[in-house]
Amino acid sequence: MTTVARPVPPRPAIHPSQMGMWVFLATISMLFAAFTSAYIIRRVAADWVPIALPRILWLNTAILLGSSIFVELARKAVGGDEWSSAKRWLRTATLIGLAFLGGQMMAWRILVAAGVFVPTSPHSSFFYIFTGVHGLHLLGGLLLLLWTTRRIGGPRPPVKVDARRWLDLAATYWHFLGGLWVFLLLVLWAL
Amino acid sequence: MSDKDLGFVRRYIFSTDHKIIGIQYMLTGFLMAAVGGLIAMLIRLNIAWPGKQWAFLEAIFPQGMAGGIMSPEFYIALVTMHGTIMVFFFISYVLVSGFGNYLVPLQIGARDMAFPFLNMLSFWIAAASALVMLLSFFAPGGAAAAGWTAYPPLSAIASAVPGSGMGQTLWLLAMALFIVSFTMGGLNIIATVFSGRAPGMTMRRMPLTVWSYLVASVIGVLAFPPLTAAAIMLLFDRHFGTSFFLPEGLVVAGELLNHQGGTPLLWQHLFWFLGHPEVYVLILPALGIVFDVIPAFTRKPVFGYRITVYCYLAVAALSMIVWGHHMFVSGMSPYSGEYFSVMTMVITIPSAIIGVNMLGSLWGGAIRLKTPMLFALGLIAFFGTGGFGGIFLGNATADVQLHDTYFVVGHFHFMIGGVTLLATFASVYFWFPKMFGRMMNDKLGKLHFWLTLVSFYCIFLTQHFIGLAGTPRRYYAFTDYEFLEGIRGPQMLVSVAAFVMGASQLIFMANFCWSLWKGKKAPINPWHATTLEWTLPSPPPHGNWGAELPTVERWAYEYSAAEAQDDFTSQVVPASQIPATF
Repeated sequence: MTTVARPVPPRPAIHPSQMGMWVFLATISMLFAAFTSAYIIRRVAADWVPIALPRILWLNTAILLGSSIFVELARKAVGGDEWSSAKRWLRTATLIGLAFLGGQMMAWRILVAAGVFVPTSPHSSFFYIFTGVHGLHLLGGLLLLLWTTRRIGGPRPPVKVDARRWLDLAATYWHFLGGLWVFLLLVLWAL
Repeated sequence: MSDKDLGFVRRYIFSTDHKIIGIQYMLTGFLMAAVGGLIAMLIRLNIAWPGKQWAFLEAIFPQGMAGGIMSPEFYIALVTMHGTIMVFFFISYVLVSGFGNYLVPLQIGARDMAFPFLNMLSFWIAAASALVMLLSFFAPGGAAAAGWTAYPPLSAIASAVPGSGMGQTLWLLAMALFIVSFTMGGLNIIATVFSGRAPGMTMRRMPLTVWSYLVASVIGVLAFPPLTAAAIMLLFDRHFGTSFFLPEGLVVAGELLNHQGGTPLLWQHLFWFLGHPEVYVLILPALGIVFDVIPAFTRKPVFGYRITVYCYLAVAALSMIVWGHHMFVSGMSPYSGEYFSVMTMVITIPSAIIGVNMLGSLWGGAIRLKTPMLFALGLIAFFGTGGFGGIFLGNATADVQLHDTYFVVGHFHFMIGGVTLLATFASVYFWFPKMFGRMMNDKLGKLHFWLTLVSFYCIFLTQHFIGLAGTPRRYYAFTDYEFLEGIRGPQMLVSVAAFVMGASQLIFMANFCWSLWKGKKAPINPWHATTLEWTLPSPPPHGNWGAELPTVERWAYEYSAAEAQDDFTSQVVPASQIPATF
């Protein structure tokens, strides 16, 4: 028991949206951790026939990682108070992100043309699930980028703190999806 | 903005106020509990009088009760739906989402959850999920029948049993909605606790209720996504011809299936990777709530606050690596079995410490046996009884004998059923005055408690012995087994006790409804408790606090402080007036 009054500690610094984003990324990580464990267990069965991954995937990977650079450029622009160029960089990143999704669809079409469908082999089943679920998350990321662009470049001058926060959130999510894709591709390619 | 400016719909239906959402969750959960409870009555009806004709039931279930006689397919669908509804749609909704929403912002001094709109969205997705689950009863072929664990191949092949068709698809859809909503809710609680605490509310001053919701939410958001992954793969097996969970050579309805290479064990692993932590998602809040109820009725601080928090964390970490003890008879390697046995024994240590701290919190207290306290005491008894059975089941050697018997049914009803049920009732009786501004009737509450406690022991303790005698779970009837002739009597006792327990919940319902309108007006702090919500009017206004947030000056359990005039000191009383413990 103390008898001295203690000073009131300051309020915690972390913003709820940032916290929420990290927790959300943790849930996505657990989702794909489960998929990966299933993959590792399933691949030792006798019927595991690896499929030839379409080469366009490597190009797609480069495109997606490239889009992250533009998101960072937008962040740098916002740091320098150049809101209109930030908006331009974000638009570019969004378009490149769309190109990635288009490239993934191309990969699906190449496989379908080669007669590789969802149930063809466990490897192809996993391929379609990995790319599909990742693609859905990326679609969410594109919406987040669009939303952020609107916050930055609306008709009225942007509320700076608010726009920065959205940009930080979008960037965190977008980079995470890039890293996640590299991981998934490595699993599909190397394991 | 005051809530008076909002219309009825925004205030009470599509509300973003955490208190309204909490109450919405609670009422939805109780509605689902009524359905799940009635299903339990049907199950026990059939066990007591297998194959007997109940003409009036045919009107409700023309398919499953054709001619008034329960079909075995309908029986197993009932068992499946009882488990699913009680675990996910009653306990999760009322105890975790309901009281979590209601209590966490109030007890940490926040105006609302971190993301109020997301919170509203969670509730409405949850409501949709409950609706889909209920609708599956009316699907062609009836509700899902693969057990609440949805093991393939029953859950993976549409033609396996009647419930494997549309019923199972709806089950999966409802679970997908549930997971989305529950994960969003957990995320909200975590963000709220980390970023929404009032000035002075350090982590070490948080009530144990808040701690338990925080830890439970962390386990929840980490454990549910793997089930989502498993459910996606199961949907692919069902509809797109993949073979994640289906092996070669399966013959269903006289037809050889085209699957190969998959294994149902993969599903079991993924399911229990969620399924076991889920037990703690439900039970930790139950334990946390009791730590807040007890001191109000012993007038002394809780015992071992910090150790309890550490034990929560230890239980949370360990809960993620013990799932294999649900699968000892799956043919796993003896070394894995040994590992899971040992880890299960390890997790009993922090659990037992939590139990000891509850007893320590009673020791030397000036105990007042009001209704919430009775339920809290009953909970400690259940936690002990259930935990004791768990030691047997956690040992691979004993489990080989007891697996899939009524011993397991008895055990998990004490833990995930009983501990959480009594915590739910304790919280309703304890926080009802805050929620609705009126007291519940104490005499009816005590009657409800004793009837529930005694009948619960008659049901589930008896089931332990029925299981020891070798009775397998999920069987439609036990008429054809000579070695089970001797347990006819105990089975009848269980059924009668189940009907008594079901009927005694009517007392609770009557008390709840009557007290809403006719109960004695509640003062601000009827139990003379210390946490922040008891400084607010009952019910608290929209936004909870006035112009300024409360300043927290001390921990949550300042009872009978030597320097204080009253035997309790609210968390907001300045430390300069009455010295703070910490």
